[in-house]
Parts: sequence; C-alpha cells; structure tokens
Amino acid sequence: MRPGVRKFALATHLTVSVGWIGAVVAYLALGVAAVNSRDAQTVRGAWIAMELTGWYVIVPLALATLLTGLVMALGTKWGLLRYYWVLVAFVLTTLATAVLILHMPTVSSLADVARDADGARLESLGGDLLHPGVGLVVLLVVQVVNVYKPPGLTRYGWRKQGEQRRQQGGQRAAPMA
Amino acid sequence: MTDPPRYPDALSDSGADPDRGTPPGMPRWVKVSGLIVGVVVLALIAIMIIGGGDHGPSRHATGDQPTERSEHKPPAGEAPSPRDPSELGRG
Repeated sequence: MRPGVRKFALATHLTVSVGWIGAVVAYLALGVAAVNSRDAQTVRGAWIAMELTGWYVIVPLALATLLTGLVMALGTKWGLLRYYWVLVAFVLTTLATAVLILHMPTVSSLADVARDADGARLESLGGDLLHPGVGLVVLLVVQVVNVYKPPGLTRYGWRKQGEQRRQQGGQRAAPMA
Repeated sequence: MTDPPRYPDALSDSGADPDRGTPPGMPRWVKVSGLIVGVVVLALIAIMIIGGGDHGPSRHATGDQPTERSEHKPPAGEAPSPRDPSELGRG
C-alpha cells in the first residue's frame, strides 16, 4: 500500500474503531438510565434510543472496523496471520461483531415491548447492560493490543519471514555473480 | 500503523532464532489471555445454564408475549397508542 493510501486507511480505521467504543459507552448510559429510572417515558425513550443507536450507529461502525482492520492487515507487511497481536485483535473484533449482530434482534424485541408496556411491565425489562459491558471490555482489550503490539511471530509469519530473508539474500548476491 | 521493523522477531518471545531453523513458540501473553478468555466464556455458559438456558427475548416475558400488541387497548380517557393495534407480524 502506498504511504498516502495507508495513512488514509489508518485514519479511517482509527475513526470507526474509536467511534465504536464511544457509541457503546453512550449505549451503556441509555441502559443505565433504563435500569435506574422510575419514569415510564424515560425507560421507553431509553429502549427506543438503544434500538436506534444499536442498528444505525453501532452495527455500521462495527462492520466498518472489521473491514478497515482487514484492509490495514492485508495491505501492510504486518499481515493478518503473521503476528499474534494482529490475529488476536482480528479474532476478538470478529467475535464482538458477531455477538452484536446476534444480540440486536433481542434489543429490537424489547424496544417493541417498551413501546406498548405499562409501568410494571416496563420496570421488568431492566436494561441491556451485560452484552455491551462485556463488549466494551473486549473492545478496550483490542485497542490496547493494537497500540502496544505485543511481540510474537506465528509459525506462518516465521516461515514468511524466512522466505523474505532468502529472497532478499538472493537479490543482494545477484550483482556479484 | 507503521510498517514492522525489518526483522522484528529475530529473537521471538520464546528465544528461538529463525536462522537456527526453530519455529517460535506461542508467546506467554497469548497463552495467558486465551486462558482468561476461556475461563470467562465457561463462566458465562455456566451462568446461562443455571439461569435456565433461555437466552432469547422470551426470557423477559412474564405471561404476555411481546407480539400481543393487537390486544393492547389504551385505558379509557387516554390517548391511543401511536402504533396501529391491528399491526401484526412484527417481532
């Protein structure tokens, strides 16, 4: 990848991945409001907002993070499978995205209930805190891994590195022949 | 993301030098992280099983189903719900 394109891809990836984290924090705030509030309108509003935020903000950001992360991995010398930190980040991001997409229909169902429920039924809905809470922890772990890039070549990366060394060694030897 | 150094893992976490032909072992941080994640996943599965195993929206049902909106009638004197009670099929 050319440096200009790589920087654009990196800027995009940083924007959507950090945006995903921020959107989950906002979603959690709505969930806390739904749990703590005794006002029916607040609880209804929180659930409806959670549904809208989930489908129209968090899911697109998650998919964009996955896609731009793949572009960054495959378009640079880090690769997707050569370093453990890239592999771990990719697996965790994929898992987080899958769980998010599988969980959103539940949120929609509960938002539908909230729209029509009365006080007691509304209170029984509680708030959606477990999934986004665990998801937030996972995203923060991925962020830390991406910044610190802990060392470790996979066997595949080690083989690829060996091949590159042999190639470069051959190229250096050629002018002397 | 800057490009990696030329030979960033000439000596990997396991101390193996690729020039000697020994593939690197899995770094300790991967093993420890994998163990923690495995324990957390098992704990979550145990909680789900102990909680009755129901992981879908119906676990919040308390006798009436979320789709029974057609039977919902606003109390007399209150404004009708913005949703058409005759709508069916959602959820």
